[in-house]
Amino acid sequence: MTDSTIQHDHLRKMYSEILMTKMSQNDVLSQLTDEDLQTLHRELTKWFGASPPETVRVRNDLKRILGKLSLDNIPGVD
Amino acid sequence: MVDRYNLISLRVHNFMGVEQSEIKFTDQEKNLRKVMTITGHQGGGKSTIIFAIQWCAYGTSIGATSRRLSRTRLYPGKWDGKQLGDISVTLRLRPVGDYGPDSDIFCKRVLHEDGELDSLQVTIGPDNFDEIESKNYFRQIFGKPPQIEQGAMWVIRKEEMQRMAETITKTKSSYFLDFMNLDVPLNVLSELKSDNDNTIERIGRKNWPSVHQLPILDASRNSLRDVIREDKVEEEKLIKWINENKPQKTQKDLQEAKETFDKAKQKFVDAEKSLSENRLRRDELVDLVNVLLSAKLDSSGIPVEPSFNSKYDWEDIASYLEKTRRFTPNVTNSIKELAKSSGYDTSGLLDRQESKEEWIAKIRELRSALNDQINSTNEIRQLESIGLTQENLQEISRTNLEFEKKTKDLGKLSERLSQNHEKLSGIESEIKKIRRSETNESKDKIKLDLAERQNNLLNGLMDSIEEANHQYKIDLLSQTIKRVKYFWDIIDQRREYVPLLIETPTPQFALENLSDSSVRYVQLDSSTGTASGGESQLLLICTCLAVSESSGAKMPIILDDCFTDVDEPTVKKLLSTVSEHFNSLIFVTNYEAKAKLIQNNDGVLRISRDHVDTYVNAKNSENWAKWE
Repeated sequence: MTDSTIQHDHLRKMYSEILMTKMSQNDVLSQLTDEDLQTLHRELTKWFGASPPETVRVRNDLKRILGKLSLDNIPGVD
Repeated sequence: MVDRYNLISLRVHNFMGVEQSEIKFTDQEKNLRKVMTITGHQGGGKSTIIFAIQWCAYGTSIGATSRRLSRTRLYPGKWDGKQLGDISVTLRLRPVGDYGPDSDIFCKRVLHEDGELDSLQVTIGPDNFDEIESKNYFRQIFGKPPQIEQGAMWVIRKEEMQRMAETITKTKSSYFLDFMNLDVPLNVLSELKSDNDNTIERIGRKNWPSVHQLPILDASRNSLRDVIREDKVEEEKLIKWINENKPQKTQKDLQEAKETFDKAKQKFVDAEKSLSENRLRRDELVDLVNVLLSAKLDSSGIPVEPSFNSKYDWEDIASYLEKTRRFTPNVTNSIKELAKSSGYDTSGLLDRQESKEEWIAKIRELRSALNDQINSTNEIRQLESIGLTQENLQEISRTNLEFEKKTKDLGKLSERLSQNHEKLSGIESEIKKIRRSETNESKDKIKLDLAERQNNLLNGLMDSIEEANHQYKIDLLSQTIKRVKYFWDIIDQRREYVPLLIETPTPQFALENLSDSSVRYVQLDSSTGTASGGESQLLLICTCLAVSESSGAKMPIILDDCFTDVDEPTVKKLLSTVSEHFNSLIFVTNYEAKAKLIQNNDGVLRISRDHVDTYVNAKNSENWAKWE
């Protein structure tokens, strides 16, 4: 494994942690369960370093996941 | 997940000065050359090779900005401005690691003779991928086209160094985000939010029937139901009455009966009057008897003699009649009795001729009146026999009129009932519609609520990604600066300067003199864009290397000899550091001396046009690019 590859891994991990922190700190997303939050995080970070995903695939995946999340604590219509 | 690739071969077709050539980057034993040098004199075609690699990767020029190359720049000169055949460049790559030829990826960019845009083809083993998947592979392997503030960094020339000098310290630079591949999810999140916005707007536009109308409609319906119920009771009553009082006689019959009654009555009255007027008076009785007797005598052929002209001559008459024996004894006896009982004057017999006609007329009148009286009485009795009397005829007529009235009332009531039923049906339909709307509205409210919640979530996600991007850029800039210093410390052999980040007035890299702490700014030649001074060149190369790490570049570092002012020991260290750190390096230089500086060099590819006529083709390709 080259130094640059190690660096890539490090950067992926670094971004992943930053993203998780930002998601956890977000007023809305923090209302999600830990499991749902991790599901969303996993969905977003799975593209790191991969082939840029197709829009249709990402759209379908995200829609499917959004449909599964428990949004009870997310603010809706007043 | 593949982090880096080695270059196995480059196949060029109709590209600039090359008609046909395939350069293999493996040795005769087909071992990979991870670290290599491309050298040759100016104009030999080294830049064409780099140009071909970059055009295959991005379809862009080698300039500082991403710009699609015009056809005319790609044409071989002999085409004289007109494309004659396809232009193509194929890169054969192999993932770094434990991969064999079966894993090789063939990335081909083709500009067809009759096409406007170049197309991409990726082949892995037996698999040929379509344009979309090929495009994804290209993005995965090469990253975004290099341009100001973004892209993947793996070709390092003066253009890239110039870009680094201009943009590395700007936190908006997205060099660092490319290989996180969050552009698509971010766009998709935005699209999903837009979809939800449309849903919210669509639902918001709906004009639902107000549920506040329901109580009013309910009250109207109940009230109408009461009216209908009462009307139905009334209708039943009317129907029952009408059925029970259905007239036996029509009003016409009754009218005719009344007329008959009236006529019969009048006839009876007239007959009574006539009878009264023509009744026989006592003083006329003798005259009548005389006339009758005279008529009888006359019809019997017995002449009335003058001797009868006496007041009490009935004895004589009877005696006379007895003699004639034309009458029975009873008659003659009765006549004798007349003389005893009444003493009628028989003198009137002689006057019979004069009053006979009068009496006939009178009797006729009496008979007629009597007949009329009998007939009218019969007619009245006949009407009475069918239940019509003078007394009840009026009652029946009144009942008939009431029947007609109630029949009309029933008609009106039925019409009103029909109208009210229709009205009730309308109200119930409206109520149902509102109830249904209420259900749909309720469903829409759920949809609306879900869309709102999802939008809040999507906003949260997008905000989080944006914030993470921002934070990552800041952290990466800081880390990249550390990496710049890291590379500098390893590569720099003169030890006179160290990199320094100047924050104000504009963030930029500079060099700090270790002996006197003076600051030396990176100066770019305004005409060539080249950094002046070996230290400045080295600083920018170190920056390019640091960015190359951060940008997720997967291709071998192609290091053009853009550091002409850097001292030889430092260049040597630079080449060894890059080859070790990035596993592969293609060093391109004009200088023979520099071509030999890489200690672990896997080969030197010499590019020369000495044995090439005008264009490189299949025949002279080996003479053009020759491994040493």
